[in-house]
Amino acid sequence: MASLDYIFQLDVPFITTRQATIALNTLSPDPILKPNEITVEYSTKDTQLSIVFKGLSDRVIRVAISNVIENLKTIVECMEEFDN
Amino acid sequence: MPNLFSLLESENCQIQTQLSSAMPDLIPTATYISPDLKKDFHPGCGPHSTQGTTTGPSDVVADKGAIDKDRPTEASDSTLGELRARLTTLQDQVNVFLTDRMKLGAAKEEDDKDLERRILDDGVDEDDVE
Repeated sequence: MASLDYIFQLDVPFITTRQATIALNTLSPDPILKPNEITVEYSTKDTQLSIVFKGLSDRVIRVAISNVIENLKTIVECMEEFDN
Repeated sequence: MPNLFSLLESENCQIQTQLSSAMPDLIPTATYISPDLKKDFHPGCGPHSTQGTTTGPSDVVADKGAIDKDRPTEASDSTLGELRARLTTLQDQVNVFLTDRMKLGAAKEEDDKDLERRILDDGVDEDDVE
């Protein structure tokens, strides 16, 4: 397996632990299409969601990061509309 | 080495938040680590918007009169609305940074290929190349 030397950690705080868990449970089922090129790990600690990307290159992680943030914004918008 | 500017900006935003609101602001942050560089990201104090500069249709498509049907709604004044706008700012910062890194990487690769080509085709002595 190639070395995944390009690492990016995104930390997103929420108002409640429940919201952080909802975000994790919504994002994490998204399959990784090329697991030999990138991995994405989700975790929560209290109200904070942490996402760690490990990829083969800047190009690979850029696509994954922007995609996850885009999905995350949609999740936050749903909470904003229905759960706030 | 920690990014001092980023840390100061984070502290400044947190102090402003405590002064202006009972509800703490939700500030997303990020850290990039590669074999040759470490960089911290912080959205800063704003103003922030959900209309990102690196997402949505390209300028070429927009100039042709295309209508962005997926245009994000404006953020509300709520804590979650502000989080969504900050996430957009952070996304723009990361996209611009990584795109620049990709361009640098591509330019370096081209230079390396050019050097290899010159050595193989022209018989340039590698020791003569700076």
